[in-house]
Amino acid sequence: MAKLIVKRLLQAIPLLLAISLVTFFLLFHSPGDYLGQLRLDPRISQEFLDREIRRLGLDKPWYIVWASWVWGIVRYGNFGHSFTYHIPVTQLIGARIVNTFILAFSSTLFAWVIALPLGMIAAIKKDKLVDRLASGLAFLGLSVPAVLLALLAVYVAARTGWFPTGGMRSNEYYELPSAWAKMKDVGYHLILPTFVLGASGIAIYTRQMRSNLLETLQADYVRTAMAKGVPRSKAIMKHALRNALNPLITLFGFAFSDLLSGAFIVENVMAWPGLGRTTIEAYSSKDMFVVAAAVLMAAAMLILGNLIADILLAVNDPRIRYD
Amino acid sequence: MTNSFRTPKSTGLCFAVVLSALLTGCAPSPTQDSGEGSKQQPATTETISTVQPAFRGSGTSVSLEFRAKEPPKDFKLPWPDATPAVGIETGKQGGRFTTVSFGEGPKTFNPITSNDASSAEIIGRMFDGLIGFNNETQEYFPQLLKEWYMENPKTWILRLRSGLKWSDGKPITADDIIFTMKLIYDPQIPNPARDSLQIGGKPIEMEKVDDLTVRAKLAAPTGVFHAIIGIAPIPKHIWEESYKSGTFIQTMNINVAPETIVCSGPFKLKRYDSGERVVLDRNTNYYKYDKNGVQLPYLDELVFTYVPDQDAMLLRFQRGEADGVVQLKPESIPDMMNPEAQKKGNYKLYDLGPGEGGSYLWLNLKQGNNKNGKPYVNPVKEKWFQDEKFRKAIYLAMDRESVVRTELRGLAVLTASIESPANHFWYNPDVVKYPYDAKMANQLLDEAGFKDRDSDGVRKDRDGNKVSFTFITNKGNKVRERAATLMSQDLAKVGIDMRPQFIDFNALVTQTADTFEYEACCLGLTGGGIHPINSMNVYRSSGHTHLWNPRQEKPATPWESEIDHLADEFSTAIDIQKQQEIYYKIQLIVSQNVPIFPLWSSKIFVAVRNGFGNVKPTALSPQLLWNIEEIFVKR
Repeated sequence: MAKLIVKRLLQAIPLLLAISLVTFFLLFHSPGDYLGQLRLDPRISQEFLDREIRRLGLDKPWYIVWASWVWGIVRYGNFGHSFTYHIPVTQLIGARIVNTFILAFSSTLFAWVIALPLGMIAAIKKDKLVDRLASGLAFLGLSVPAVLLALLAVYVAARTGWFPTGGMRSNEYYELPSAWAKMKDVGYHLILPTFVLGASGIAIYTRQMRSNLLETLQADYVRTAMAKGVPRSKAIMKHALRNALNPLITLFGFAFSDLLSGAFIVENVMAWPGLGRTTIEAYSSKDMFVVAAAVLMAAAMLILGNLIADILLAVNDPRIRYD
Repeated sequence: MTNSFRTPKSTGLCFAVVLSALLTGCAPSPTQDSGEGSKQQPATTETISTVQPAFRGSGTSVSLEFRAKEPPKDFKLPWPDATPAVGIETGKQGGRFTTVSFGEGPKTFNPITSNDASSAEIIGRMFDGLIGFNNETQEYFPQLLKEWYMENPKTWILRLRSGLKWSDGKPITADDIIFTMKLIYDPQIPNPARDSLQIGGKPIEMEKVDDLTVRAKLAAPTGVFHAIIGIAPIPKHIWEESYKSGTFIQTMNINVAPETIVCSGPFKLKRYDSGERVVLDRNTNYYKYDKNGVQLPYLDELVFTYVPDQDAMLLRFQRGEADGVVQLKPESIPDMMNPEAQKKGNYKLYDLGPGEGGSYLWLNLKQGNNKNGKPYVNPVKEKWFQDEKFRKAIYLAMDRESVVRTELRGLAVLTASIESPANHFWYNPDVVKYPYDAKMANQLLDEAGFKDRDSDGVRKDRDGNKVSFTFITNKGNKVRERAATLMSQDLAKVGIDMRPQFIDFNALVTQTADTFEYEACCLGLTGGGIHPINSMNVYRSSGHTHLWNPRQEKPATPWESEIDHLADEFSTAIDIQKQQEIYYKIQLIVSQNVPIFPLWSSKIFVAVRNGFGNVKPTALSPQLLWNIEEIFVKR
């Protein structure tokens, strides 16, 4: 297992390098730069602009900038400074990525908690009303895009007043008496974004769970178990379910990165202060190192997600060995 | 935007905060013109009358100097130099005011390095300038200063109020002013104020007279000193060390502990939640008191909240989660204006008339070739564009009134000058105007030799080239796209094929300000203030924001040369009436030669929840917050 982890991490290095190289290439070759805004300000002189270009290193070729950025990371763990915020990129992103993680984590949890039992019931009660309902729900969840669902959720919140229309904390957050009250406040703000972001996951996992379980339920070993007198429920839980889980775990690996991009959309519609908004802002203001770091982060997330999935697979299924 | 809180209202047009105003005045965009930033003191009729006209400026809205005066008799001030809050409704301390705007919020709390509007909006509440600007009367007034006056044409005296304290209780002194100026002039510290603070092309020399007094030595006499010197000082005792160690740029960033930002304004930083909100609370050392001896600000807290777009912004306001909102979408105005909705929502919508910004269209008048020997503009088209009759015809052919009526829902006014009508003292109402007149446009085009020789509906020039060109404009909302299409249709009616091309804002800036490879451009430009001194770069032929033909080595036309002379005269003229005359003339010359077509200026709307006192929004930014220390919760 340790070998697998090391191998995967080593494989990730050239991949991440390539991704960052492409990012820098694109950033430098798309029109405009960080000083675009200032260029149209009549109060600012050309000398000031020229000095800023030199200070920020924008007069150097893109590959040099990339190389020195990479060197900074390797040598000093320095991901560069944000042009706009004058602070290290890690500080800027750090505050936001936590928020994105909270959202991603809660919606994953939500999706799994709903989808697994639902898929199971649908499989066991195949072609019964419950199954039909679950299928209908799943199709609905799959066919409604996250953006639309998010807008709908905001509309519902605005109309009913049951939920906040956006944000992560209420204005009174800091006056709340206890940590528990604060958690409740964040939790209350989390409900809608979690639902929106989790919806498509529920659909996918339910369908997957159902078909996997149907397959394993008909497998010889399950039939044998039941023929030997193992109670049906036990046969399902101990034998069928565990085998049915494997494809889902693989799915989870990919979903991890999907979740981040999905979160970007939800963050924007529902005013969740996550990494996505910072990245978009940084992109439009051409805050180079922030964009590069955010892209790198997303790529690292995908790699990490897949690694976690592989490890979970091995844990769930003793037959899988990575030696 | 650009740190205008330091040079309160020292600028005419600020072209920096461009994007959002384009055509509709309201496209969601990375930066906003949500707040201009200068910490300005309130409209007080009393203050106005105390402004001693120094020169012939008598009776105008702007004065060069201000001499200290006895405080009003009915005020019992805790110390003589504290500021009386004159002419306001008196209130009680307490409560909170919440605003909502769209975007990611402030980038920094550093008043020196900040160069964006959302930071300036907050910094402007935390740091007072030496000189303030009253948005309501459009008057300069002494803020941290008690008086400022000319000793002789090249030296000025700046005198601080006595008893002023930083938010940490230490006194505000002449050393702080000198220290701040030193930082601004230090080339190692990137800051946009340095370029504005030049007189006769040289920095201002500061000399300490005593603890409260500074003597400023200028390289040349000037009549604009008051407009540029209104910088907001920062405390020397806090930042001297980081300045010496070269880390000043990184100070006062968004991640610092709030209490480390020691400030002079009515509010100080209490909390920053990245991407969500900024909370300011009362600076208990503030120097302003009302008639009853109550210390200002009245509010305990001022909260800025941020959402990703204008729809969410409106929603927050409608849900009662914010008390004030400024940058409303034109589409939402008719509903918001409904008296029923106002009653039900318990708010008032203010129609403040045209704002500082406006929309413009211009043809690329750059002649010659770029470094690679390629002409900036196709020589055929260059010939058309240089033809004054051609330009006038295009301007006349645009039915701007229809565009405003239909696409902008009537929420804009037509403009004729680069300067906005919101700028009462400096705007010249008598420039040459070009109202819609297709007949006249046709006639001019015929005269200039553009005729539809083969009756295909498009005119040809004398050499038989079809009159066809594109204008670039930045991508954005539907309203803008439709407005561009309408203008294009208007021109088709007079036989000119002018097509819009929608491109990324960054690309647009590169093309218009750097490579000059474009044919025409349509852009919304947001105003940043009042005084024309710094928008001279728009008028000067050598200016890099001389939109239609920037950075000329020598003036391309006789009239541009004349404007250059006038611009020189403007900065040295000591008489304010004379300055106004010069600036009027500059505007007139531009309108006679039509290098740029001012289109319209969007109206500014501000919605404020009922139940607050001293709410006096203005069309000038910061529209709502300029007198925030006076705003109080009723009952």
